[in-house]
Amino acid sequence: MFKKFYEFFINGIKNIFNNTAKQVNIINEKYRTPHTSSKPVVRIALVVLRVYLMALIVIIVYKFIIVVITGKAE
Amino acid sequence: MNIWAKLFYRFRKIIKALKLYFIIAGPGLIVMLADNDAGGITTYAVTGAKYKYELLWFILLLLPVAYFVQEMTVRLGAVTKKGHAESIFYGFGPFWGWFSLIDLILTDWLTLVTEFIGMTAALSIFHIPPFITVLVVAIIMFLMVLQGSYWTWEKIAFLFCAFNLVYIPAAFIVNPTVSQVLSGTFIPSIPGGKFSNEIFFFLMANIGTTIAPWMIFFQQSAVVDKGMLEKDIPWGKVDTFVGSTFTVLIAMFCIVTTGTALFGHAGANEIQSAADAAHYFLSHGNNHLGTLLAIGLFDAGFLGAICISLASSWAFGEVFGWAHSLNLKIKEAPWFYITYMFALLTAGGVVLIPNAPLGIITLFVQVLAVTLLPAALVFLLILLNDKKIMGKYANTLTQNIINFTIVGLIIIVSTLYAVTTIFPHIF
Repeated sequence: MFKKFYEFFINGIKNIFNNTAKQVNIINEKYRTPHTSSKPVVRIALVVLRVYLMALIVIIVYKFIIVVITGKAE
Repeated sequence: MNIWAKLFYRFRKIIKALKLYFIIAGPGLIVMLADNDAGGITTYAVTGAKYKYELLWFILLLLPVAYFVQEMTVRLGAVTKKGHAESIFYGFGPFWGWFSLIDLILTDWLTLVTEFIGMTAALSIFHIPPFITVLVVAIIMFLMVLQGSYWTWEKIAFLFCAFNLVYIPAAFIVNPTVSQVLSGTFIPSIPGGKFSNEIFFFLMANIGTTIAPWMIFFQQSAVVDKGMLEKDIPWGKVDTFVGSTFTVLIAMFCIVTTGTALFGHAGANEIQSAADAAHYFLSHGNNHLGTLLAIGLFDAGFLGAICISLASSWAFGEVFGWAHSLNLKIKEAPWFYITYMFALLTAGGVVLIPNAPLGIITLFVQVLAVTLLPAALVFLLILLNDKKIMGKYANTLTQNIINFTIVGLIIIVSTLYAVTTIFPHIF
């Protein structure tokens, strides 16, 4: 009984993951080619945005670790 | 001819224009009033308590900021018939698409938690336990979408928007000195004549509450769901302008209320939220004012919650290709409604967890929003400048000068806001 339930549960999760992965692949394929005109200004803006976001994410992760360790927001 | 017929004949053009406006009105007005959410009202209440009317001029400056950013979403939505999440996938490919979608979902969910914090705090003033608040709010929000009609949802949302106006009578109850209010509104000044870290933080917080990432996603999706076409763009702009005017007016009335009733009073400096302000009034015998503030805070959280949860569901639906419209019944768009209710119930559930780290959640909301806002704004500007996508509705030179200035300032200020939120003693 328990084994059947366990298999049903595990298979359910596996199916959800597989279906999501399939859907993500379909979406990635659908939008593979960006449709905005790739002018140099646009390319530079996107590179700057990437660098900016990476810096911000590093700061957030650092803060998150500090909050987890100390348990304080400040 | 009787008097009504004469009046109708005389003002027929205005009446016709108003009729048309009320057909098109919706996304702009709702998103702008929902912008004064629980976090927003708290920021305004504390700003008034600390600085009286001295920052009113700054709030007035936020009117064009809100209008010009949101107006772009109207054009993009009406021309492309795509929500903002889908527009990013379409325009910039999967990397930026997934980044924006995941960031939006996270930010929206955390913001939803803060809306529930505001709503439960407001109703606890009336001795309503948090679990009842969460349950009732979830049921009302479910009933709002049950009709399967965008128009019905919009009209119910208008009703809740009307409650946002409670800050106007509240401001009259406290009897402010009109000349001081006008001077604070039209003559820029810095409190105490000196620029301090605290003032800078408040200015940043006020900008942060005026433009939030979910607003961009919500309004563009709402324009699409409402079925607005290119010919409706001028009315969409009017709607956004009316909404921006209301949001700024309500913010100013809220500041005037707490500025008049709390500034300089004993204990006013300890006020950290709109709920604290309502408690203060009630404990000092000012029951009408305390009640109005509590109703306003609840309504602000409620409006924020309905818009934010919809912004997420629309974005999911657009990207995953699920049916995603308020015009569809639950059977026709199950995933759209499941994600909507899932976000609401889980966010409400977090508030009910004893000793949940709500302060830390509020902190990360502010910071995470800043990771999404610059990206969403940059994408908006690039898309609005793409003649292939926008045709004759692309940004003009004047619009670009205004929008690039606004977006540049928002990015700089919101980044500084995030950094000072993470490291409070950095400056």
